Amino acid sequence: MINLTDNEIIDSVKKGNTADFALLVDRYKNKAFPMLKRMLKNEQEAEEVLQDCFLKSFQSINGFRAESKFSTWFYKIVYNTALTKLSGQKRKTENEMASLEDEINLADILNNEVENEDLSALITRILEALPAKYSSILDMFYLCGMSCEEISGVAGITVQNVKVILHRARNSFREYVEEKNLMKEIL
Amino acid sequence: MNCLSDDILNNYIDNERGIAELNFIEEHLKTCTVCKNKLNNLQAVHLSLQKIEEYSPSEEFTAVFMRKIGKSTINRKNQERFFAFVLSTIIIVFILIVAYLIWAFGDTTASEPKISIDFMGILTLYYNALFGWVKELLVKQNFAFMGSVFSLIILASGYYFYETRKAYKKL
Repeated sequence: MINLTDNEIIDSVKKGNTADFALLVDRYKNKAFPMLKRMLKNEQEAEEVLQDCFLKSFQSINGFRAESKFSTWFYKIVYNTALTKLSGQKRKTENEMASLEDEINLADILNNEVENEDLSALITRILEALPAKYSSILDMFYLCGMSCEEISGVAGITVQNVKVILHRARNSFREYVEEKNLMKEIL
Repeated sequence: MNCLSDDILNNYIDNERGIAELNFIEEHLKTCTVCKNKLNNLQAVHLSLQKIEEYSPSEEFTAVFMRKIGKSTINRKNQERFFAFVLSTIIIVFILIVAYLIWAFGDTTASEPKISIDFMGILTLYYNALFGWVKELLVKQNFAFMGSVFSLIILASGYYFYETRKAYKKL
Protein backbone atom coordinates (compact mmCIF):
# COMPACT_ATOMS: atom_id res chain seq x y z
CA MET A 1 0.00 0.00 0.00
CA ILE A 2 2.87 2.35 0.90
CA ASN A 3 4.41 1.89 -2.57
CA LEU A 4 1.40 3.27 -4.36
CA THR A 5 2.00 6.32 -6.53
CA ASP A 6 0.30 9.61 -5.72
CA ASN A 7 -2.09 9.18 -8.63
CA GLU A 8 -3.05 5.67 -7.53
CA ILE A 9 -3.82 6.95 -4.03
CA ILE A 10 -5.85 9.83 -5.49
CA ASP A 11 -7.85 7.42 -7.66
CA SER A 12 -8.58 5.35 -4.59
CA VAL A 13 -9.70 8.43 -2.60
CA LYS A 14 -11.90 9.50 -5.52
CA LYS A 15 -13.54 6.07 -5.42
CA GLY A 16 -14.54 6.71 -1.80
CA ASN A 17 -11.62 5.23 0.15
CA THR A 18 -11.21 8.37 2.24
CA ALA A 19 -8.79 6.68 4.65
CA ASP A 20 -6.19 6.37 1.87
CA PHE A 21 -5.75 10.14 1.96
CA ALA A 22 -3.73 9.55 5.15
CA LEU A 23 -0.98 8.10 2.91
CA LEU A 24 -0.69 11.42 1.08
CA VAL A 25 -0.71 13.31 4.38
CA ASP A 26 2.11 11.16 5.72
CA ARG A 27 4.02 11.52 2.46
CA TYR A 28 3.95 15.33 2.31
CA LYS A 29 3.53 16.64 5.85
CA ASN A 30 7.22 16.44 6.78
CA LYS A 31 8.25 18.56 3.80
CA ALA A 32 5.38 21.04 3.82
CA PHE A 33 5.56 21.65 7.57
CA PRO A 34 9.14 23.02 7.75
CA MET A 35 8.41 25.14 4.67
CA LEU A 36 5.32 26.62 6.30
CA LYS A 37 7.07 27.08 9.61
CA ARG A 38 9.81 29.06 7.92
CA MET A 39 7.33 31.14 5.95
CA LEU A 40 5.05 31.93 8.88
CA LYS A 41 7.75 31.99 11.60
CA ASN A 42 5.35 30.25 13.94
CA GLU A 43 5.08 26.53 14.62
CA GLN A 44 1.49 26.47 15.79
CA GLU A 45 0.25 28.58 12.90
CA ALA A 46 2.23 26.41 10.49
CA GLU A 47 0.46 23.30 11.78
CA GLU A 48 -2.96 24.93 11.52
CA VAL A 49 -2.27 26.15 8.00
CA LEU A 50 -0.98 22.70 7.02
CA GLN A 51 -4.23 21.12 8.24
CA ASP A 52 -6.08 23.70 6.20
CA CYS A 53 -3.98 22.93 3.11
CA PHE A 54 -4.62 19.19 3.35
CA LEU A 55 -8.32 19.84 3.86
CA LYS A 56 -8.43 22.11 0.81
CA SER A 57 -6.67 19.50 -1.30
CA PHE A 58 -9.00 16.78 -0.02
CA GLN A 59 -12.08 18.86 -0.79
CA SER A 60 -10.95 19.64 -4.29
CA ILE A 61 -9.38 16.26 -5.07
CA ASN A 62 -12.12 15.45 -7.57
CA GLY A 63 -11.00 18.45 -9.60
CA PHE A 64 -7.39 17.26 -9.66
CA ARG A 65 -6.29 16.13 -13.10
CA ALA A 66 -3.51 13.58 -13.41
CA GLU A 67 -1.77 15.65 -16.13
CA SER A 68 0.11 17.57 -13.44
CA LYS A 69 1.97 16.17 -10.44
CA PHE A 70 0.12 16.05 -7.14
CA SER A 71 3.19 17.45 -5.39
CA THR A 72 3.22 20.60 -7.56
CA TRP A 73 -0.53 21.04 -7.13
CA PHE A 74 -0.31 20.54 -3.37
CA TYR A 75 2.68 22.86 -2.86
CA LYS A 76 0.84 25.53 -4.81
CA ILE A 77 -1.99 25.26 -2.28
CA VAL A 78 0.55 25.42 0.56
CA TYR A 79 2.38 28.42 -0.89
CA ASN A 80 -0.79 30.39 -1.66
CA THR A 81 -2.40 29.62 1.68
CA ALA A 82 0.73 30.76 3.52
CA LEU A 83 0.87 33.98 1.50
CA THR A 84 -2.80 34.64 2.22
CA LYS A 85 -2.12 34.08 5.91
CA LEU A 86 0.87 36.42 5.75
CA SER A 87 -1.07 39.10 3.90
CA GLY A 88 -3.54 39.02 6.78
CA GLN A 89 -0.76 39.83 9.21
CA LYS A 90 -0.29 43.45 8.19
CA ARG A 91 2.61 44.08 10.50
CA LYS A 92 4.72 41.39 8.90
CA THR A 93 3.72 41.95 5.32
CA GLU A 94 6.35 44.49 4.43
CA ASN A 95 9.15 42.28 5.67
CA GLU A 96 7.82 39.01 4.32
CA MET A 97 6.88 40.15 0.87
CA ALA A 98 10.36 41.41 0.12
CA SER A 99 10.80 42.25 -3.52
CA LEU A 100 13.39 40.65 -5.76
CA GLU A 101 15.46 43.81 -5.69
CA ASP A 102 16.10 43.40 -1.97
CA GLU A 103 19.52 42.06 -1.05
CA ILE A 104 19.79 39.40 1.62
CA ASN A 105 22.02 40.51 4.44
CA LEU A 106 22.64 37.44 6.56
CA ALA A 107 24.84 39.31 9.01
CA ASP A 108 21.87 41.55 9.89
CA ILE A 109 19.48 38.63 9.95
CA LEU A 110 21.61 36.54 12.30
CA ASN A 111 22.95 39.39 14.43
CA ASN A 112 26.43 37.89 14.11
CA GLU A 113 25.67 35.20 16.69
CA VAL A 114 27.32 32.12 15.29
CA GLU A 115 29.56 30.93 18.06
CA ASN A 116 29.26 27.35 19.20
CA GLU A 117 26.62 26.50 16.67
CA ASP A 118 26.71 23.43 14.45
CA LEU A 119 26.19 23.79 10.74
CA SER A 120 22.76 22.19 10.40
CA ALA A 121 21.49 24.45 13.20
CA LEU A 122 23.03 27.44 11.43
CA ILE A 123 21.41 26.51 8.09
CA THR A 124 18.07 26.06 9.80
CA ARG A 125 18.45 29.40 11.55
CA ILE A 126 19.36 31.18 8.33
CA LEU A 127 16.40 29.64 6.51
CA GLU A 128 14.04 30.52 9.32
CA ALA A 129 15.26 34.09 9.36
CA LEU A 130 14.96 34.62 5.59
CA PRO A 131 11.90 36.41 4.17
CA ALA A 132 9.11 33.99 3.20
CA LYS A 133 9.67 34.40 -0.53
CA TYR A 134 13.30 33.30 -0.25
CA SER A 135 12.89 30.54 2.31
CA SER A 136 9.95 28.98 0.46
CA ILE A 137 11.86 28.84 -2.83
CA LEU A 138 14.94 27.35 -1.15
CA ASP A 139 12.72 24.80 0.57
CA MET A 140 10.95 23.88 -2.65
CA PHE A 141 14.27 23.46 -4.44
CA TYR A 142 16.32 21.68 -1.79
CA LEU A 143 13.81 20.06 0.55
CA CYS A 144 11.03 19.18 -1.88
CA GLY A 145 13.36 18.47 -4.80
CA MET A 146 11.38 20.57 -7.27
CA SER A 147 12.82 21.93 -10.51
CA CYS A 148 13.00 25.67 -11.23
CA GLU A 149 10.15 25.22 -13.75
CA GLU A 150 7.93 23.57 -11.14
CA ILE A 151 8.75 26.25 -8.57
CA SER A 152 7.94 28.89 -11.17
CA GLY A 153 4.48 27.31 -11.61
CA VAL A 154 3.89 27.18 -7.86
CA ALA A 155 5.13 30.66 -6.98
CA GLY A 156 3.72 32.36 -10.06
CA ILE A 157 7.05 33.94 -11.02
CA THR A 158 9.27 33.40 -14.04
CA VAL A 159 11.88 30.64 -14.11
CA GLN A 160 14.50 33.36 -14.42
CA ASN A 161 13.31 34.97 -11.17
CA VAL A 162 13.39 31.60 -9.40
CA LYS A 163 17.03 31.28 -10.45
CA VAL A 164 17.77 34.84 -9.33
CA ILE A 165 16.41 34.05 -5.87
CA LEU A 166 18.32 30.76 -5.66
CA HIS A 167 21.59 32.31 -6.80
CA ARG A 168 21.19 35.32 -4.52
CA ALA A 169 20.49 33.11 -1.52
CA ARG A 170 23.48 30.85 -2.26
CA ASN A 171 25.78 33.81 -2.83
CA SER A 172 24.74 35.47 0.41
CA PHE A 173 25.19 32.20 2.25
CA ARG A 174 28.65 31.75 0.70
CA GLU A 175 29.73 35.30 1.51
CA TYR A 176 28.51 34.90 5.06
CA VAL A 177 30.30 31.61 5.76
CA GLU A 178 33.46 32.95 4.12
CA GLU A 179 33.32 36.07 6.24
CA LYS A 180 32.76 34.06 9.42
CA ASN A 181 35.29 31.47 8.36
CA LEU A 182 32.77 28.64 8.64
CA MET A 183 33.88 26.76 5.54
CA LYS A 184 35.83 24.19 7.54
CA GLU A 185 32.63 23.20 9.25
CA ILE A 186 30.80 22.88 5.97
CA LEU A 187 33.53 20.82 4.36
CA MET B 1 41.47 37.11 -18.01
CA ASN B 2 38.16 38.25 -16.46
CA CYS B 3 36.92 36.24 -13.52
CA LEU B 4 33.70 34.24 -13.72
CA SER B 5 30.54 35.94 -12.47
CA ASP B 6 28.44 34.56 -9.60
CA ASP B 7 25.67 33.72 -12.06
CA ILE B 8 27.99 31.67 -14.25
CA LEU B 9 29.30 29.77 -11.22
CA ASN B 10 25.76 29.13 -9.97
CA ASN B 11 24.63 27.90 -13.37
CA TYR B 12 27.74 25.72 -13.52
CA ILE B 13 26.71 24.09 -10.24
CA ASP B 14 23.21 23.55 -11.62
CA ASN B 15 24.63 22.04 -14.84
CA GLU B 16 23.00 24.72 -16.91
CA ARG B 17 25.83 25.59 -19.24
CA GLY B 18 26.45 24.51 -22.82
CA ILE B 19 29.46 22.30 -23.64
CA ALA B 20 31.38 25.17 -25.27
CA GLU B 21 30.90 27.35 -22.22
CA LEU B 22 31.69 24.44 -19.90
CA ASN B 23 35.06 24.02 -21.56
CA PHE B 24 35.75 27.71 -21.16
CA ILE B 25 34.75 27.64 -17.46
CA GLU B 26 36.86 24.57 -16.73
CA GLU B 27 39.87 26.04 -18.50
CA HIS B 28 39.48 29.22 -16.47
CA LEU B 29 39.13 27.33 -13.19
CA LYS B 30 42.44 25.56 -13.84
CA THR B 31 44.28 28.84 -13.80
CA CYS B 32 42.24 31.12 -11.48
CA THR B 33 42.46 30.26 -7.79
CA VAL B 34 40.03 33.04 -6.81
CA CYS B 35 37.25 31.56 -8.97
CA LYS B 36 38.22 28.03 -7.95
CA ASN B 37 37.86 28.92 -4.26
CA LYS B 38 34.62 30.72 -4.92
CA LEU B 39 33.25 27.68 -6.75
CA ASN B 40 34.38 25.32 -3.99
CA ASN B 41 32.67 27.46 -1.39
CA LEU B 42 29.53 27.73 -3.48
CA GLN B 43 29.48 23.96 -3.95
CA ALA B 44 29.92 23.49 -0.22
CA VAL B 45 26.95 25.79 0.42
CA HIS B 46 24.94 23.93 -2.23
CA LEU B 47 25.75 20.59 -0.58
CA SER B 48 24.92 21.86 2.88
CA LEU B 49 21.58 23.20 1.65
CA GLN B 50 20.84 19.77 0.20
CA LYS B 51 21.06 18.45 3.73
CA ILE B 52 18.11 20.54 4.95
CA GLU B 53 16.24 18.19 7.19
CA GLU B 54 12.56 17.53 6.99
CA TYR B 55 10.65 17.24 10.23
CA SER B 56 7.16 16.38 11.20
CA PRO B 57 4.42 18.34 12.90
CA SER B 58 2.89 16.91 16.08
CA GLU B 59 2.60 13.13 16.34
CA GLU B 60 -1.17 13.30 16.27
CA PHE B 61 -1.25 15.40 13.09
CA THR B 62 -2.47 12.72 10.67
CA ALA B 63 -4.97 11.25 13.13
CA VAL B 64 -6.43 14.69 13.93
CA PHE B 65 -6.65 15.50 10.24
CA MET B 66 -8.38 12.23 9.37
CA ARG B 67 -10.96 12.88 12.10
CA LYS B 68 -11.60 16.29 10.52
CA ILE B 69 -12.08 14.68 7.14
CA GLY B 70 -14.57 12.24 8.68
CA LYS B 71 -16.53 15.15 10.16
CA SER B 72 -16.44 17.15 6.96
CA THR B 73 -17.65 14.14 4.96
CA ILE B 74 -20.59 13.69 7.34
CA ASN B 75 -21.35 17.41 7.13
CA ARG B 76 -21.25 17.31 3.37
CA LYS B 77 -23.60 14.31 3.29
CA ASN B 78 -26.00 16.12 5.64
CA GLN B 79 -25.77 19.20 3.46
CA GLU B 80 -26.55 17.16 0.35
CA ARG B 81 -29.48 15.45 2.06
CA PHE B 82 -30.87 18.79 3.22
CA PHE B 83 -30.41 20.26 -0.23
CA ALA B 84 -32.23 17.30 -1.81
CA PHE B 85 -35.05 17.67 0.75
CA VAL B 86 -35.49 21.41 0.12
CA LEU B 87 -35.27 20.97 -3.63
CA SER B 88 -37.84 18.15 -3.69
CA THR B 89 -40.16 20.16 -1.40
CA ILE B 90 -39.93 23.16 -3.73
CA ILE B 91 -40.60 20.95 -6.76
CA ILE B 92 -43.59 19.28 -5.09
CA VAL B 93 -45.06 22.64 -4.04
CA PHE B 94 -44.53 23.96 -7.55
CA ILE B 95 -46.21 20.92 -9.11
CA LEU B 96 -49.14 21.26 -6.70
CA ILE B 97 -49.58 24.94 -7.55
CA VAL B 98 -49.47 24.22 -11.29
CA ALA B 99 -51.85 21.30 -10.89
CA TYR B 100 -54.24 23.43 -8.87
CA LEU B 101 -54.12 26.26 -11.40
CA ILE B 102 -54.81 23.86 -14.25
CA TRP B 103 -57.65 22.31 -12.31
CA ALA B 104 -59.17 25.58 -11.13
CA PHE B 105 -58.68 27.77 -14.18
CA GLY B 106 -58.41 25.15 -16.91
CA ASP B 107 -60.25 25.37 -20.24
CA THR B 108 -63.95 25.11 -19.26
CA THR B 109 -65.18 25.78 -22.80
CA ALA B 110 -63.87 22.54 -24.18
CA SER B 111 -66.77 20.68 -25.77
CA GLU B 112 -65.53 17.19 -25.06
CA PRO B 113 -63.91 16.39 -21.71
CA LYS B 114 -60.72 14.50 -22.34
CA ILE B 115 -61.09 12.40 -19.20
CA SER B 116 -64.27 10.66 -18.21
CA ILE B 117 -66.47 12.51 -15.69
CA ASP B 118 -66.34 9.70 -13.17
CA PHE B 119 -62.61 9.53 -13.15
CA MET B 120 -62.36 13.32 -12.86
CA GLY B 121 -64.84 13.23 -10.01
CA ILE B 122 -62.86 10.62 -8.12
CA LEU B 123 -59.70 12.56 -8.75
CA THR B 124 -61.29 15.78 -7.46
CA LEU B 125 -62.58 13.95 -4.39
CA TYR B 126 -59.17 12.59 -3.55
CA TYR B 127 -57.56 15.91 -4.34
CA ASN B 128 -59.96 17.77 -2.06
CA ALA B 129 -59.52 15.25 0.72
CA LEU B 130 -55.76 15.30 0.56
CA PHE B 131 -55.00 18.88 -0.38
CA GLY B 132 -58.09 20.75 0.73
CA TRP B 133 -56.00 22.81 3.08
CA VAL B 134 -53.62 23.66 0.27
CA LYS B 135 -56.59 24.86 -1.78
CA GLU B 136 -57.65 27.01 1.16
CA LEU B 137 -54.22 28.55 1.32
CA LEU B 138 -54.14 29.21 -2.38
CA VAL B 139 -57.28 31.34 -2.53
CA LYS B 140 -56.62 34.90 -3.60
CA GLN B 141 -56.71 36.36 -0.07
CA ASN B 142 -53.99 33.99 1.15
CA PHE B 143 -51.68 34.31 -1.85
CA ALA B 144 -49.64 37.12 -0.29
CA PHE B 145 -49.32 35.14 2.94
CA MET B 146 -48.21 32.04 1.05
CA GLY B 147 -45.68 34.07 -0.88
CA SER B 148 -44.23 35.40 2.35
CA VAL B 149 -44.02 31.93 3.89
CA PHE B 150 -42.37 30.60 0.75
CA SER B 151 -39.85 33.47 0.73
CA LEU B 152 -39.14 32.87 4.42
CA ILE B 153 -38.45 29.18 3.74
CA ILE B 154 -36.06 30.11 0.92
CA LEU B 155 -34.31 32.71 3.12
CA ALA B 156 -34.01 30.25 6.03
CA SER B 157 -32.59 27.60 3.69
CA GLY B 158 -30.11 30.09 2.29
CA TYR B 159 -28.99 31.05 5.76
CA TYR B 160 -28.66 27.37 6.73
CA PHE B 161 -26.48 26.71 3.67
CA TYR B 162 -24.36 29.73 4.48
CA GLU B 163 -23.81 28.61 8.07
CA THR B 164 -23.09 24.97 7.22
CA ARG B 165 -20.71 26.08 4.47
CA LYS B 166 -18.91 28.32 6.97
CA ALA B 167 -18.69 25.54 9.54
CA TYR B 168 -17.49 23.14 6.84
CA LYS B 169 -14.71 25.54 5.82
CA LYS B 170 -13.64 26.02 9.43
CA LEU B 171 -13.04 22.29 9.92
